[in-house]
Amino acid sequence: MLLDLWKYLILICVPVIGSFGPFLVEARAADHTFWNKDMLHLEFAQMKKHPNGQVSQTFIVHRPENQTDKISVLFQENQRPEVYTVPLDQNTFSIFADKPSSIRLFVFTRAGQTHHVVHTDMVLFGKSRSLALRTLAKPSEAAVLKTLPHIFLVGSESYYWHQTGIPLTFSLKTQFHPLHPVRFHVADNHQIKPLAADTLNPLQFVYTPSHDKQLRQAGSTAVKHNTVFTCLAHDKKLYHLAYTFQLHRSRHAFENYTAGAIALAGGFLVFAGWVIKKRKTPWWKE
Amino acid sequence: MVERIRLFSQHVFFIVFMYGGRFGIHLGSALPCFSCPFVQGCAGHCYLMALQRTHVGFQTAFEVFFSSAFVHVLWPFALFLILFLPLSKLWCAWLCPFCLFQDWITLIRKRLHIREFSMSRQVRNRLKPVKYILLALLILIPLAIANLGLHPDWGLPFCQICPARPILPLFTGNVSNFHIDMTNSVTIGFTATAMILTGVFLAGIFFKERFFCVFCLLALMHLFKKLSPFRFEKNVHACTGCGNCEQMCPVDIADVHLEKGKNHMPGAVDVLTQDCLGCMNCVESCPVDNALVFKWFDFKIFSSSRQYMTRKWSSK
Repeated sequence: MLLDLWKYLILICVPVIGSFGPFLVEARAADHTFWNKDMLHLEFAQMKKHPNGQVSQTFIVHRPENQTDKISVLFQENQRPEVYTVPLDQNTFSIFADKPSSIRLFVFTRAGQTHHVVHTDMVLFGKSRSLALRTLAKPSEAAVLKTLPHIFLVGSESYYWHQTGIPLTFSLKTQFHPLHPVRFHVADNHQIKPLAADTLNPLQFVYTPSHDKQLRQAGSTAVKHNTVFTCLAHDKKLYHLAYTFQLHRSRHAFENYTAGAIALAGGFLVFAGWVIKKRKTPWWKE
Repeated sequence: MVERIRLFSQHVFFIVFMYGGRFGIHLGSALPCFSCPFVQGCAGHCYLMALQRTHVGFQTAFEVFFSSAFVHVLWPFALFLILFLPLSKLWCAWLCPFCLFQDWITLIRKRLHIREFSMSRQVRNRLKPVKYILLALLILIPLAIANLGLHPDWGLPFCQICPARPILPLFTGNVSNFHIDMTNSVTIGFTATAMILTGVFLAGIFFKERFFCVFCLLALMHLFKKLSPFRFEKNVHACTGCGNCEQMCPVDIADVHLEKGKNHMPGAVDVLTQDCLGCMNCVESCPVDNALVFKWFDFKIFSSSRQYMTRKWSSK
């Protein structure tokens, strides 16, 4: 009798709990608490110019907890179809460029039912006669890129010098429709902020990075790295997607044209006044 | 006649350098004249920028200077020499866009009947080292950025204060370089200096013909004049010492007039000085046949002639 009761309980409860499953996943997807320790993310480390003219960018990979698959690192160069793979040396890897190269980089792995994908774009200004070492990815690995869901920065192919104070638009590329409304967040100086959805396109999010005092004090080539991330649920799987990008200080936000005009006029008037005051000799021709 | 050809050449090259990039002309980044890279759609860049840049100039780590990558620093220099050597100082008065800008300002002053201010020889001699001090800073500052940790906003130090940077882009409708950048103290310092210097040079160019050329760092070319087939010679025995050459010179060079040669030397003496712009005004105004000669190897490009001078001045 008791055994039968258990059978009935199981028969009733499993579908009920099962039907709540997607909602639990969805609830997880809608918040941003998974950021940092639960999530695969990339950190830009040293960019180095080598004596042979090559330029390398090193990355540090922060692994997600309970990672089950190996971490794959794939990249494409100058919008060409070839896909290259980079071996991971513990938690770091480097990409070399022998010529000016626009790099589109993907790092991805899996932790149980959670898929982690980090994407980034960058430009390396290599200038070398010795070819950078590259390993072509296997066709099966390269094919993954076509279906890999990822966040991308709209217009990043044509413009790489992203600055504070200028709006950036992020969007999503997936082969499926997420179960819940998509929300993007940004991790900026250890603060998590939600991104506003574009009024015309709910799958596009606009982020205007605020000016950063440290970047202003550092040189014009100094960068900080922000990460835009989201979590999607589909087919009882979770997708933690991130896009890491480099941000420079604003080039034009602090330009003061009035002060410039005053300095220009000041220089002109002081020198012209000095010339007029000091003039003694007539011009020979007149 | 020569003056007209020169003016025509200046205008043609002004159009080529300022707008040539829009028509697919790119003459590289080692031009020996002020073809400013801050002009959008220009046909080539002034070599001074390459000199200060990372990788191709002196903003480079010491270790690179002793490696194969140094070829990237040498290549623009080689290109600069290849471009400079055949024409030498003709780059200044015949091709440089900023030189033409100065000529336009001078023309306005002349039309307004405003007198030019005179600069004594003493003042000129005192100012001569300024360009070489600036040239040294142009090399040392990028080296200090790459090797001694100087703040990177000191990068491109000459371009940041060069008056051509705000002025030349005006001819493409770009006024964006007339500002003070309040980003940090280094940018404020550089942009404020740039604006004050631009004001000073605009006034200077107005009151003194080719005022900017007195300080032009491309006088660096003079260091390599011996390698050039371009020669400017004076026949000291023929010279009457009238002083026309000095009076007609836009940069008041006295050396051509004063050069007497030495007893043991032949009559022809090289009088191409560091300030010479190659405008040939002196040759045009010299009343003695073959006293002043511009040569390319042994081929006479232009030599002074009494007949030419008389015809020119009688027609004015």
